[in-house]
This record gives sequence, structure tokens and C-alpha cells, in this order.
Amino acid sequence: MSVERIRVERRYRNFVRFHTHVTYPEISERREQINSLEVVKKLDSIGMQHLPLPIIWDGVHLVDEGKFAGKTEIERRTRLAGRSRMWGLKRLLDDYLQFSGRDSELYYRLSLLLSAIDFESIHGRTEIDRAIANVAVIATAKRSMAVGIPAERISDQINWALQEVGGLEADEVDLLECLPEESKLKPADQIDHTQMSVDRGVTAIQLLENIETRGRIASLFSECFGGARKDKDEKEIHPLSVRRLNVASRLLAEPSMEALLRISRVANEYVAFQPRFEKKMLPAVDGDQTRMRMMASYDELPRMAPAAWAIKVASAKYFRYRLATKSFMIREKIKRSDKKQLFYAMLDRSKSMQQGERIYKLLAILMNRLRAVMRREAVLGYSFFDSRVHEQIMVEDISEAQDELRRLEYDFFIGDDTDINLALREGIKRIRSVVDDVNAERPELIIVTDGDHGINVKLKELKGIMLHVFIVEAHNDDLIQLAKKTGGVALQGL
Amino acid sequence: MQSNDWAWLPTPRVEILPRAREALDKRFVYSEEVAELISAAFYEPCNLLLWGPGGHGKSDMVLAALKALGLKDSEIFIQSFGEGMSEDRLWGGPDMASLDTCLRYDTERSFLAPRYKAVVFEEIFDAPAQSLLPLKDVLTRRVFMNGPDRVQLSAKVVIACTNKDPREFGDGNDAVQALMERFLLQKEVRWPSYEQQNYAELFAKVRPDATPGGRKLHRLLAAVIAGLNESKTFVMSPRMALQSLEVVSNTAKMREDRCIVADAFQSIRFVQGMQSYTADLSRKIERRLPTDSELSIPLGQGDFSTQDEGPLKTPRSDIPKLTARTLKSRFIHCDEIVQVLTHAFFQPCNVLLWGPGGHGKSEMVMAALRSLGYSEDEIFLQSFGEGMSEDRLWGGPNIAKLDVCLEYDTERSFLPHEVVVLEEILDASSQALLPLKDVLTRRTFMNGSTAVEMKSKVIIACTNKDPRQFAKDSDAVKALLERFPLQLEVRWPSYEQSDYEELFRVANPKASSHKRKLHRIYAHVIANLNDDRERGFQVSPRIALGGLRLAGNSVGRHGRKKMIVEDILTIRNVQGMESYKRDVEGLIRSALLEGGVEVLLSDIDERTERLHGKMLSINKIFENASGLDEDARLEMNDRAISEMVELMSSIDALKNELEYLQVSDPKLQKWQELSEERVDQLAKEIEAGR
Repeated sequence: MSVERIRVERRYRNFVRFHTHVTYPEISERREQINSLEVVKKLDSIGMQHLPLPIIWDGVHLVDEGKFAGKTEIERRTRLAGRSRMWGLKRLLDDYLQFSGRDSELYYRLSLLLSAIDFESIHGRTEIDRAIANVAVIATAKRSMAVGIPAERISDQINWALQEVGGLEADEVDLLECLPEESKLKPADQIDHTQMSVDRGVTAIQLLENIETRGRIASLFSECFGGARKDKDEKEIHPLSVRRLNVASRLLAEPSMEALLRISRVANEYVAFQPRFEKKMLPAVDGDQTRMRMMASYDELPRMAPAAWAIKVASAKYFRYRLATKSFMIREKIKRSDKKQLFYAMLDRSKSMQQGERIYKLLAILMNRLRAVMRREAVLGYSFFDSRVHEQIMVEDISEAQDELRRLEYDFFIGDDTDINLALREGIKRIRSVVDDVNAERPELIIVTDGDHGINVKLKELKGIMLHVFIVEAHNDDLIQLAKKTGGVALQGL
Repeated sequence: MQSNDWAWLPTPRVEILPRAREALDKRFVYSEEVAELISAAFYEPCNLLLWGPGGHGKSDMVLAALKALGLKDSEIFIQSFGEGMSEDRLWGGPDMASLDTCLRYDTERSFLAPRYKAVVFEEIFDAPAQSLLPLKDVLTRRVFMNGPDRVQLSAKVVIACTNKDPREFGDGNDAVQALMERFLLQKEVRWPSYEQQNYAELFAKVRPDATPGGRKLHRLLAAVIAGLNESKTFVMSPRMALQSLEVVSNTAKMREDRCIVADAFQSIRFVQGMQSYTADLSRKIERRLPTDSELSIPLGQGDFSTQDEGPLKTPRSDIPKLTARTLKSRFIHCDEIVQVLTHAFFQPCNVLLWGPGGHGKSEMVMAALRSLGYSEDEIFLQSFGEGMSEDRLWGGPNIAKLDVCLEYDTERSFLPHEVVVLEEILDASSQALLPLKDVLTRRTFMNGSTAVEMKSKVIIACTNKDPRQFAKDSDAVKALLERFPLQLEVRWPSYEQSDYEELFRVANPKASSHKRKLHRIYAHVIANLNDDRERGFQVSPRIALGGLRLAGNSVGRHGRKKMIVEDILTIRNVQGMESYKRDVEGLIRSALLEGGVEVLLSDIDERTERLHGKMLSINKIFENASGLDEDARLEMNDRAISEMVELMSSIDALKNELEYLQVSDPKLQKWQELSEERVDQLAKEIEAGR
């Protein structure tokens, strides 16, 4: 969806610009826990400097346990604020004509809308982070109202977006931020609304309606983030809460992000697709930890814990018994074995991948594996394939991986054919050749494709390598059967 | 070895098969073939090996069959092998009396004793090869040479159980291969498949009097469990399935209306073994439940495993309320732990709590136990750890009897206590854990020749180590972990400012509003120290509370009225922070700018005060110098002047800092003005003094 400037009706201009009148501040003792000037400063530094102050107050009040004002209070306040901007004569007239109160209905609607939004699902490390996120949400909600989107649609969509991004971990956000722009990921003529509505389990009309509303909210959202996306080098000062909202705005703007998040959730549901949780402790002379263990043979006598010798003095017989049964403890240095798991992904780059949301789904799987690398639990290698297998990319450093992600635009997916058999065999061969170099173990092969060709690779060719298969928007029973036999995750029609 | 004396078994030969079959069929599903094999082993005495994945009740089946065949408890010998197995343990331990002359074993205490007719070895292939080798010989020759004496193996049937697959195990290890050849009959124990109907069949077997509601629950639960299974990587064993049933139906029992709601199924996550389910569990469970309306299944009497009030001091019906009330008032984020402890006390069964240190696991456990009416000395608490050894576990050796035989002073061990807390259990070496495992299963401990009953109803183990790390590494530990049917990782769902604030509020419920404000500032500061990444550094509750106490302590110690930055910096000295890599001071200062200007202001005030004192002392130097002779005076003046310069630069720094501070609250603004005035005044005084 393209982000275009939206005209706001005249009567809403003041509404957007000025007071909100909708929250009671600081009734509790939390008063001024947050230094609002610091919030303003922080907002400036992340490119949200254009937001009006009242909205910032509202955002702060909401974390300061402020609450929404009732109807009469809002009326009172709007009148007060309105009259303060009037001249003497006008004020006199106002006593009869009630100019100043005419917007109170609008503010009341805003208050209702905001109370329907689930501010609790905004998480932040500190209350300031939460306040900043609140500010962005309030500003967006207010503007959405001003452009005439029905209130319950606004709250539904915002809540949906907040829920989708609320649980995102920092590393997921890191990766999502490197995704290329939507226009680079999907050619405009390949949008397949039928497939999309099937994926989401909604009718095509609902889908289009959703996409439209979301697009409008998203353009408002990204407007209030202003320059947030530009300065990448200063990412550290963006709190996670704001970065999550940034993802949320993308999620609203790009319908296919929904597919991406859905697939990554599906992938998370399988134990087989999680990195193996297994750390061995090996005895080593230069280990950094010590442990006590029972003695295994008599040549370990000198390493016995000193307390043992005390037993010898106290009761020589008991000492001999313990010695005979080898039930004394000895000290031993150990080291944690730091072998990681090796994942190798074969990714389809044939032209057909451009269709539908296949690229997004492929990215979801790739990102899922990259997260394991970021957590230092695994080493990832991958290659693209079409009728042949392209060069291999090993992910050692995470910033490299992010650069690779940025490169994956749709015109990269231009292969002529899909040779899955070749990809499988080549993948096995490449795993064999790297598994020792990178000091990794328990290799697993992952294949993401939309090909439905028959498979002639036999189970024993895999040599115990677990195979995971993700077939996007297509079906391939041969491949599924093969993966199931190795105990891997096998999903089709994603 | 063939003997024609068929009367060794109380059951006539023709009866063996039907009896075994009947006994097993009563309690187990898919037991026909096992019954077949056990009867075959007894019909013409020979050895039997049962193998297969854990949790299928192999040992239980064997015991049930042996009992059905008329063998008494005293005629069956059961020994657990495993990593910690050693040769002497196999032969009954050394004979203390003979120890001075030669090493002989006390075979009366081993499986060789003539009273045993059948022997069961558990986890046999987990034992190190050096202890398996001699066993092989004895099984072949049926005679053990104990020093000069011949000891006859009188048991006719040896049944071995193992979780390991002998096919993977056999090649490359001759000792094991040879031992395996001594077992004529071998059988893999596993279900034909692990689908919904298999689990449903199991549930129907163990709860024969289920009400229609109960049967519906069985169907649903079976569907949920089958949905969690993944071929090869994760299969719910029958034991886990049964424990799930127990937990889920108990959640209904705890409710007033005795109804199962959708949430009840989520408590499957507490079941032992589920901690290795690394994927998204709750969504997977939800997916299998009917999505339509509110799920609510009423259960009846027949659906619960027990009806009485339970063996603990507090009757079952009071446990949920008591536990929840006690813990929720004192700890935060304890919902899960309340649930798991409630289940543990309710059933009652053992529970393992694990997770990063400093989250108050042991404290919570002790508080919960005390609320159930156990006094301090009725709760047995033992710290395990690296130095734990077998004799400490059983209360230490009985020194008086040491010359005759080795007996333990079990009165001092956990055995006679109803509730037991074991700390750092996974740090102990596997040799110490092995015997514990046996006792937990059999509930009796053989102390020399007397049996000591284990009276413990609930054993709560706490550890900082992640049990998943032990999954492949150590089978002894793994087997021990299986004795704790409920397990929970204790950690906070999030480490944010509001969490710490809540922690401080609960820890100091009566704090004044001024104190509470400080708590907020402190919470803000430590939340800023945390890492955004999931595996990154998080300030644990213990560090947070310790740091807060230390900061308050430092304020009082220096006789200050207000907290300044220096006080907050004391968090660096709290245990656990030494591994913190980032710049603590910088982070704390920037955090204070955002949400703790008060502290910065009082810090400036304090420093102004100090500079003022310094100015006075410099003035004094000047004064003193004026009375001295030329050279000394010049020297003194030089020193004073250099100090003066330093003083002035720090005043400038202070001024800058004050200007940099931006506050919006009118009260704070006033404060800021006051401080500014004070600094200006001091600056002027210094100017004047020059």
C-alpha cells in the first residue's frame, strides 16, 4: 500500500492539533513519575517531534495510572478550553449559543475509542518506553478518527496489530526491520487475493475491506513515526516498544506481513523444528568449571576431596570401606561442549515463487532459522536453487545475515525451473562438506519450495540427516513422505 | 542349571499364562505380548529382556505379573542399575567384618541370596561396562565366587528392563553384546501407535467408572495429547499421559462446580517431560479444543483417582485457597508456581522447580508448606550440591555399628518426614542420585537388612540447572527426573519496570509515599540495566531487592536525608552483578535523567555541600599559610591555588549539569531553582575568597 498524505476535514483540524481532554492525569501518587520533558526529548530524538504536547500528556497519564474522563468532564473541559480562546463578545454569545461545547461529542467518541484499545498489550522495558508507544498509538487513533474510519474498526485493527507484535522478541524485530520494502518483495501484478483470503480464512470482500482500512491506519501510523525509519545507525536509542510499533505499522500497511508472521508462528509449533537443547559437559584439563564426581579408579586417589582424609583418621575401617567401594568424591575440571547445530536450507528461487505470498513465507522460514543463529544455538548455511544449485551462503555473523536478507527482492527470484531432487542431493553433499569445518553437529536439511515434482531421493541417501519440508501454496506428497520418514517437520499448502 | 523341580513357583504351569494375562489386562493396555513373554520366561525358566521408550510401565507390568504368579515381595529382588552402578553394589557391598583380611562381598544383600526366586534389573545397559562384565559370567555359570566360597544363584528368572535400544547398543561393545546373549527372550515394549484412540483406551482402562462427562474429557484429552506428538522428536509416553489426566481432572476438582474448562488443558505444561517441548505449547493445545462456545464439562465422583481428603495435614479441599493466599500476598508472578504446588499437594506427588537463581523458589516453597500447617522442624530441608554423597543422603553412617556392618542413621534423613525440600538437586553427582531414584520408586529403603519405609508424601526439589541439559548427558539424572511428575520453570514472564515496582511493593507493604517514590525510581533504573534479548542479562529479583536494601543502607550509613547517585551505584556490589559487562554508571545516570530527577537534584545538593566544605578547608590553608615564612607560604599557597582551580572547575561542571536538567513538574522546578541559587552562591563565595 502506498503511503499518501490524507486530507483532514476542516472541523477536525483543531481536534488533531489541540487538546485531547480525554484522560484524567495523576490522581494517584505516581504523579510525575516520568519526566515528561525527557519523554519529549526522546520523542524528538527518534523523529516523532511533530506530535502535539497534549497527546504526549495523555500517553504519559496512561502509564501513570491516569484514566479516561467521563462525558460530563469532557464537556466541561472542552468548554473551558474553547472559551479560553474566545474574545469577550464571542464569549458572551457563547453563553447562549454554546459554540465551545460543540466538539465535546467528538472528544467523547475519542475517549470511548481509546478505552477500547488494549494499551496493556504494549510492553516496554521502562514506563517511559511504554509512554512513547502510547503516544504513537493515541496519535494514530486520533487521526484515524479524523479521516472518518469507524471507531470500532480502528480499535479492532489497532488491537489486532498490537497483539500480533506484542510478543515479538528483540531478535525477531531486528530481522523484520531488515526486510526490503513491500514493493521490492512483491510485483504488483502478482497479488493473488483469492489465495490470500483462503490463507486467512476470510471472504474476499472482508479481506479487501481489511486491507483498505489497515492501509489507511498504517499511513497515519508511519506519519507519526516521521523519520523513525531513516536513521538506522542510531537504532540503539529506539526502545523496543517503539520498534515493535514500527513493525506494527508495516504489518498494517503490507498485507503479506501477516502471512509471514503466521508462518513463523506455525514453524514455532513443532518441537522437531527447534534447535536441540543439549549441552554436554566434558572433562577437560583446561576447563573453566569444576565438578565433583565419584571416583572411577584408584589412580584418582590424589584428586580426592580433602575431607576424605579426615575420615581416615576418624574411622580407618570406614575409610577402607569407602575406598573399596570407590565412593569417595574427586574433583574434576570440565568444559561445556560448544558444538552448535547445523541447519542447511535449500531455498527455491524459481519464477513461480513470485506468485502469491510465497516469498514472504520463505522469508518466514529463513528468519526462523536465523533467530537460532542469533541465539548462538546453531550455524546456518543456505543456498538457492532452481534448475541448478547456486552458491552457498554460510551465516557466521548476524550482521551478514541481515545484509543478505535486505538483498532478497522479488526480481531475485527468476529461476526457470525447480529441480528438487538435485537440490536435496546437493544439500546433503554440502552438509557433508561443511559439517566438520564449522564445528557443528546434528545437521538438519530444510527445503522451502513450491514445486510439485516427484521425488526419487531415497531415505537412505539422507544418511540420518533430518529433513524439514515446507511447501508453500502447493502440494507435494512425495516430499512430505520423505520428510516424515526422517522425523522432520513436513508441511504443505502453507 | 536345569532342575526338574517345578514346584518353585506357587502357580501350576498351566495356569501361568492365563494368570499373567489376566493380571496385566486389568491395569495395562497393549499388554498381551508382554504377558505372553513373561509367562514364557516362567514356564521354562529363562531370562527376559524388556526394552523400549521410558514411561510405558515396564517395571510395573513385570511386578504385577510376578505378584499374580504368587511370588511374594520378599521373593523378588529389584535393583536399579545406571551410571553410578559399581561392582560392589551388584554383589551387596563389601563384608565389613572381613575387610581387614580380604575383600568379600555381603552376598546376602545381593540378588544372589537364596530367598529370591526372581530378579528384576532396571536400566541395565546404563551401567558402566566394568560392572556388567562380571554379571555376565554369573548369569552363565550361575555361581559366584565370593572369595573362596561358591555362592549359588538361586533365582530362576532374571528380568531386565532398559530404555535403550539394544540394536543401537550392541555393536562396538562386546561386554554388552555378551551380556545381552544371556537373555533368551527379548521384547520391545511400545504401543502400536500413539494416536488419539490409543490414549483414549489407556484412560478408559485406568478410570473404569468414568461418568459421561469424564469420557468426554478422555476423548478431548486424548486428542490434545495425540496432537502434541511428533514422530521421532516428541512422543507423550503413557506415564505422561496419565499424569496429564490426573492434573487436568484435578483442576476440575479444585473448582467449586467440578467442571473442566478450556484452561484446564493448559496445565499439561506442568507434566514431567513437557519441559523438553520447546515449541509453542499453548497454541498447539488450543488448536485441538473445540472452538465453538465456552467449554465446560461437569465431572463426577468416578472421574477422580481419589476421593478422600489426602494424606497431608491440610485437607485437600483447603489446599488451593491456602496456597494461593499465602503466596500471592508475598510474591509476585507466582501464579504458575501456585498452580503447580497446588497440584503437587493435591495429588500429592513430587515436584521439581527449576530456573535462574534469585527468584525465591525455596522461599516460596517453604511459605507454602508452612501455610499447610507444617512447622519448621517438620519440614525436612536438605541442600544437595557437588559434595553430596550417598551416606549423607541417608543420614550418615551409624558409627556404632560400623565394625559389623554398614547401616545408616535413617532417622536423620528425609525418610521419616512427610514433606521434604531438596535444594540444588541436579548439582549432586549421579552416584548419589542413583539410590535416591530407587527409593523414590519403591518407597522403602533397605538399611542393611531392615526395610525403612519412606514416609514422604511430597518432595519438592529446587535447582538452578536446566533439566533439559541433562536429557542425553546423564541417564541417571534423567531417570531421577522422571520421579518428579510435575515440573516448572520459575522465572518472570517479563522484567520490566512495573514488575520490579510490584516486587518492591510486595516486599515493603508499609512503605511511605516518599519511599514508594524512591522504589519507583529504583525500579526504573534497574529496568534500564536489563537486556532486551531473551537470553540476555536480567536483573533477578534477589539482586533487585538486595540492591534496594543496600542503597537504603548506604543513605542511612552516610547520614544523608536523600538518596543520591552514589547510593544507587552500590548495586554494582550486589552478588550476581559482577558478571555485568556494560557501563553501569552511564546507564544509571541516563535512566535517572528520564525518570529520577529527584535523585539527581539531591545529588547536586549533596555535592554543593561537599564543595562548600572543601572551600572552607582551602580557606583554612590560606589562613594557616599566612603565618609561615616566605618559602613555606609560597609552597602552601601554590597547593591551595591548584586545589582552588579544581574546585572551580567542579563548580562549573555542577552548573552545567544543573542547566542540562530539564524538569516539568513545578515542585521540582522550584527545587532546581533553589539548587541553582545555592550553587551560584557558592561560586560567588569562591570568587570572593580568591
